Amino acid sequence: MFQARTKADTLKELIAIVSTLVDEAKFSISSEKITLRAVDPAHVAMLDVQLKKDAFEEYKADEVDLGVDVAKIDQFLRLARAGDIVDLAHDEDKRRLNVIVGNTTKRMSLIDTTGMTEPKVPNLNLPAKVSLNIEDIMQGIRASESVSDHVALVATPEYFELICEGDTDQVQLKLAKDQLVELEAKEKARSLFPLEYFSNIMKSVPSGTKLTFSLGVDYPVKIEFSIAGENGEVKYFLAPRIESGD
Amino acid sequence: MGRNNHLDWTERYRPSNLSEIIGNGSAVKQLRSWADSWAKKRPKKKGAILVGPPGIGKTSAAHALANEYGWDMIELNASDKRNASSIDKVVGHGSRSDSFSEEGEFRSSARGELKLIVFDEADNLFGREDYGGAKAIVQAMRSSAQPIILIVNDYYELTRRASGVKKLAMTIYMEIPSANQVLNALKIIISKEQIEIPSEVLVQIAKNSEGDIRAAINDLQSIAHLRPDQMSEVVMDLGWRDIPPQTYQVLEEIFLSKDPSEARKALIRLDETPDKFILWVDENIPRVIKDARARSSAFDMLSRSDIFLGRVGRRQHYRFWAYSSELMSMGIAVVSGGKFDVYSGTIRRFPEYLIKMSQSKSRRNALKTLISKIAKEHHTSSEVARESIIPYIRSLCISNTEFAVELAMELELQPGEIALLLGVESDSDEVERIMNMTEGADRSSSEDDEGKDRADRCVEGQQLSLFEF
Repeated sequence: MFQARTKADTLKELIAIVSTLVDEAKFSISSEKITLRAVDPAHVAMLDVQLKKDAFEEYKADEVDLGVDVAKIDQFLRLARAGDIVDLAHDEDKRRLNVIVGNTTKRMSLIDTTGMTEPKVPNLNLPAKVSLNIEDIMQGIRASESVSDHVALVATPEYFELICEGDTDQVQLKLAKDQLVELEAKEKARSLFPLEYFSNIMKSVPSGTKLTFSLGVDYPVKIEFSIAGENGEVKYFLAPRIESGD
Repeated sequence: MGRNNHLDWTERYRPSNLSEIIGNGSAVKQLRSWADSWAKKRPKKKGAILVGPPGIGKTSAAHALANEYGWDMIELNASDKRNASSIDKVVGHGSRSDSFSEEGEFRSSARGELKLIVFDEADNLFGREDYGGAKAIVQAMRSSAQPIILIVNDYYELTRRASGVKKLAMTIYMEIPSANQVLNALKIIISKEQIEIPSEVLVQIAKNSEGDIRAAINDLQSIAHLRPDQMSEVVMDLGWRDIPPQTYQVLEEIFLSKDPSEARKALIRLDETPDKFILWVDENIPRVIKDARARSSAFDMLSRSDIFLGRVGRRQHYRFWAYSSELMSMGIAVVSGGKFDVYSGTIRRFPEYLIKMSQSKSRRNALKTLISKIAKEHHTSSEVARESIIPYIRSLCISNTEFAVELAMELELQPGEIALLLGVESDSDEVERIMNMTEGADRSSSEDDEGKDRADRCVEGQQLSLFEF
């Protein structure tokens, strides 16, 4: 059984995050929270999201896995205005998820979840930590998009830096320690990442959010932030781009 | 990949190691040397093209390679969207970055933990949906930092569209395994499944497969639920590798795919007429669709489809096959597609109808000849003979052995026909006794004409006596 009621915005945030990496997702629902863990089809990035029951106005659930077509639910939620309330209900007999916005109900058939694996959260040694506001980095990402398809994230004891080097142009965004919420780095950490992934992930972060990067040297980045007023936890892992050795 | 809970035997017994690949020693050697070339530095040949006919283990070799070398693996099949942008998204990005495995482990290429990108049916990029696909493969391969395997049936079809791959990839030809090698593979499977299958059945399956191991394993699984005598019936008598190997794939599309149009396309590609294929759908509906209401609407679709088959039969208007096909593919897919938790392995039951028809073949033939003999004797239609005369003759034969013997002589009845009249098996004692008696009577009486008259009188006389009731 699964039945929940929430603000449309909370659900929109969740779906925006999930849809950056996967088209189909297996949501594991328990009496306390909704969890989703998935690796994207190219095996480049991974997502771990948890949304606690407190993020909902009403929440009643037993343990169940729901396979959801993310694009379908995203499309429907776009019809909801800010402040609208959304009801979710699992119809076990018909294997559907019913989503109700206002007076409209969308009954969506669920996806078979056999064969959808649930990855474990990787245990990575990432010594550098950088916390900042999403607004402070977006400009640099937008500027990079026309320059190259990869960005370097650099953390030193003094500053955090985003560098995008193309064939002819270069973009650099540099934030000194006092411009950051937090900076913790004993040595220089630097890794290169695919820009498309990084930028899509950053665009899924709700505005006004404080996020934390954990970095290493030529190693994945962990991107953490909260959604739904601290009631949801999001962790992205992005694999580094292999530096061309040709 | 260590997922051994598959009900589909072709998946369950996929080789986990290159040494388990059937035959193909030199192809395996080349594949290993290509894989080894990745260990030191990024090699010039970033790709390998595995070439060979369907079902001989190309995909299995790619999986086994990834498993043996401990590489992560991503796969693009014909069922995935494969236009330029989606190829770039998966192959392009995937090949230039390090990897998270499906289990959530980080794989660093710097530590030799690579990601194998397997592009299945790479010669099969068609139409608008796959627009620009071939070019995107070449581009992705050029900039790749990860090993890529392209799997093709037709090397020239691939290089015609994507000539650039010739320089970027090593071409490895896989050979068709012999019937003996296929047989050995089948034997391993049945010993692991702990089932018994007569060895002549196995030999026949291996022979029928013509080296297509996947087809052989599918065939094996499709008969595994039968009794041994039924098995030999199916395999020996049904002319059975007339079943195109893609039959199972089409069934999977119909019952499992989320996109009904995929089911339709799969059936169009299948080299089988709808009047035959409908039996497969019919056989498998109850096994896939558990929900009673859905099952009923699936059968409803199938019966509509069958109506068109009937019209094809009556009017010889074969255009109706199109409607019939669409109802049995898209129609069922709309009801079933992706909504039921079914392993693809369960969808491969051989239609029981065909088995029963084959088993009753001699009986049906006997009935046909019996009817025509009696109809001729009574100067009547076979319809009348079947409906009005045979029931009486049947009860007469059962109660009156002498009559049965005379009738048998008169109409030169065969054992099968006598068995039908007596309502017993054709190899039973009663039939044999009557046959012996006709032979004995044959020798003793030479006056054939008289015998004929008597038989006629007999029939009429006895009929009258029955009417008296």
